[in-house]
Amino acid sequence: MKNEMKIGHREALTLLVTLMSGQVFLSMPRNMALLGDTAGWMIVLLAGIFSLIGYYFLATLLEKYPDQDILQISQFICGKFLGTIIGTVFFLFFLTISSLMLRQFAESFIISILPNTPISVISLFFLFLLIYGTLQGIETLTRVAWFFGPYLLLAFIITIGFSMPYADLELLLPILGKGPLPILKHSALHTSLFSNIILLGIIAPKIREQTKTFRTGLYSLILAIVINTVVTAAVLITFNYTSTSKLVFPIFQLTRLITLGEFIQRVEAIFVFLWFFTAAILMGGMFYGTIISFSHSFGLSNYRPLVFAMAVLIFCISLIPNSMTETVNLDAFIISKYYPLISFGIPLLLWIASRFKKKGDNSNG
Amino acid sequence: MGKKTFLAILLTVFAISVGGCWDRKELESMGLVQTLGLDLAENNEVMVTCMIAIPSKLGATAEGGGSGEGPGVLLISMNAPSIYEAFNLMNTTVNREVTLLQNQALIIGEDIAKSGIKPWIDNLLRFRDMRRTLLIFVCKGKAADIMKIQPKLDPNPAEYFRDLVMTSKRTGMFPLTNLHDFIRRYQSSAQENYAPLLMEYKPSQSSEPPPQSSENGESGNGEKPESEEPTEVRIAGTAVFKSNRLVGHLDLYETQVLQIITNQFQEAFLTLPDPLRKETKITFRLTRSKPTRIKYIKNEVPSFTVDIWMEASLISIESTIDYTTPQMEEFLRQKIAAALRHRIEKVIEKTQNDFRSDIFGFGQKVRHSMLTTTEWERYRWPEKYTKSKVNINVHVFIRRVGIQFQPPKIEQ
Repeated sequence: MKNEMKIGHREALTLLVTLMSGQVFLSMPRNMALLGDTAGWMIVLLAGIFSLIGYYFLATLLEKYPDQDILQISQFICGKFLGTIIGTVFFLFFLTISSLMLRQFAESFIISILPNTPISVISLFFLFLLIYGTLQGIETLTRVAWFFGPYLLLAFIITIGFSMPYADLELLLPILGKGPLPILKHSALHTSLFSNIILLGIIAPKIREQTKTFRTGLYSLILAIVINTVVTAAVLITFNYTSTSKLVFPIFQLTRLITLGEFIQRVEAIFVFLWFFTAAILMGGMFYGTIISFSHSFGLSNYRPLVFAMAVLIFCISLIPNSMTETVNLDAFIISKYYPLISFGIPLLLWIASRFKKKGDNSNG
Repeated sequence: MGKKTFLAILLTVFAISVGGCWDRKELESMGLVQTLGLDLAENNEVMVTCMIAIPSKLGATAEGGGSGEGPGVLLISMNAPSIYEAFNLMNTTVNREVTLLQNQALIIGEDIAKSGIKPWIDNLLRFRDMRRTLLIFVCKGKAADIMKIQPKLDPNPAEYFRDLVMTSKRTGMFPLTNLHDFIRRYQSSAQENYAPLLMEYKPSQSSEPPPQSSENGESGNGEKPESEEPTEVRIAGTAVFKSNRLVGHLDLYETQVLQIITNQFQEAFLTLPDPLRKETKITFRLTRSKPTRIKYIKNEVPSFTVDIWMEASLISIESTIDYTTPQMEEFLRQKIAAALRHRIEKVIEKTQNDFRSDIFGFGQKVRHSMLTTTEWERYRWPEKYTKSKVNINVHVFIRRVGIQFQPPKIEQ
């Protein structure tokens, strides 16, 4: 049955890595340069390390309750009522990120290649893809991620590599950027960069070899930290920190710089495919998270009827911000403040609660 | 919903939407700007000059067809409040959509550069058709006038500019600057801006900076120039900016120094008076043997030590003195090093005293010595440059003497 599909750990890993790295195509490197100047990459790295700590609680929780996702675990630990509230919070989290991501990716296509196309048309086509992918189920999504993932990564490495003739490592100096304290502060606040790891809490029970769940999440997080850090550093050494902090889509600008002799020029046309595939996989994962968190919180056995309704909801929410600037601000600096509370805070609370729960169970029994 | 129904709906939607592509552009409908020129116009407006390719003519000459067909480009100038509005105005007379998609070069007129490029710089960055790989030039006089000159060797003036600036790899006489470099320097207080300087040039008259070498070998073979128009374009060195204003220029030989210190120098010929017989000359081919190293010494007065490594190969010895012995080579290399050092010091002094502009990027070394960007921003480097001390060490090695040992001598 489609409802009982299982996924491989490698497939899950690529999906998670894409989920946490797709943001490099958007304004992420610029936001980091804005926060930390030359040490923007350090913020990403430290945020990653903090996320690893946060991830530990999520992973232990998932290990303790195998074959259950984070929503079922929270209902089990906190009871039906509280569990449903926690589930709703997760649902809102996924809904917000999906909508903001949809808007940003759609805007990025308008800015880069399709300046005259209405945003609704781009968003709608994206949603068709998401609807189709989600109806097919998580197995299809993860398999697509696994199928394209390595090629996307390879293409991405080549792209970054080709733009390196413009790079100057010295542009990472002064090494501490805005200073150690601001860096620590911003990296703690921006663990939101890796908050998408929470999707593991939703797909964990579907992973075929349950013993590998912990490692899947860990490796995906480490890989994502490396990708995000390297990209931020690459942008900083190509444009200096003052330029980077003003670019809307730094990676897009980076690809536009590529010229090798007179033969290889204007490669951004190829790059846009890479961009699109990554966006589609990322959005697919987040869309799936939105639907599953809703259906599991409210005890629906089949999530498929929700797909169209959710697509409409996401489409509408994505169009709420008045401008792209507003979207980027919301996603990077305003709403994102609460992301870590959800993806690392809730698992931590559940983990603490689960320890008490065990004691309570023992005393009852 | 059955799979078939879903598929049918999907296909219908695709079929309908494919018909109306918003971003469709036909190649024939586009007027591809090859070079863009900016000059100051009255009432705070800008005069935009576009060099638009005429594909049929460019094609014909490229195949070796008629070269007498006239230029392969259409020149058109418009005054407008902004660069992009000028395109709209141009489209009142040009029947193709004027677009910057293929633009290769941007020429900034002297008046704009002198009055400050600040109002125009955002124009160059924000619009998506502008690419950062665009080559930047500053010109003496009006950009519109420079663009009128039709080069003899190439039907496409835009390509001509690009190829011309590329020859700098062999002469080190002008800096290759694209929009990316230009903006990077513009936004950095650690290095001031510069760009190659274009000027009109009449081969018959000698122009102001005395050209010693013959890098402008393409003197025309009698094609009728339009009435009193000058006949050639040349790059005359480097336009130097202070903050966002043009403050002066370096000539071709001074530019070589800029190229050496900024590590862009690759090779050039160098002629010096013979140290043993001053009335004769001695010529070398100078190549970079190691990247230039700049060391910053933190003092009250910022000081720098610049180490330059060059290889010199002998090309000609007018005096016929035999310098091809190890002892003489040692003597000669010290002389070359001293001459180079003197030349470099003079240029650095000029930038400190006349321009007060750190085009060499010494500020970058100061910035690297700091721990945080806040500390750097408080330091106010541009004000300190004029007082800083620069020590130059030139290390020259003579490795080769060409394909001959002793110079030829008349046997008596």
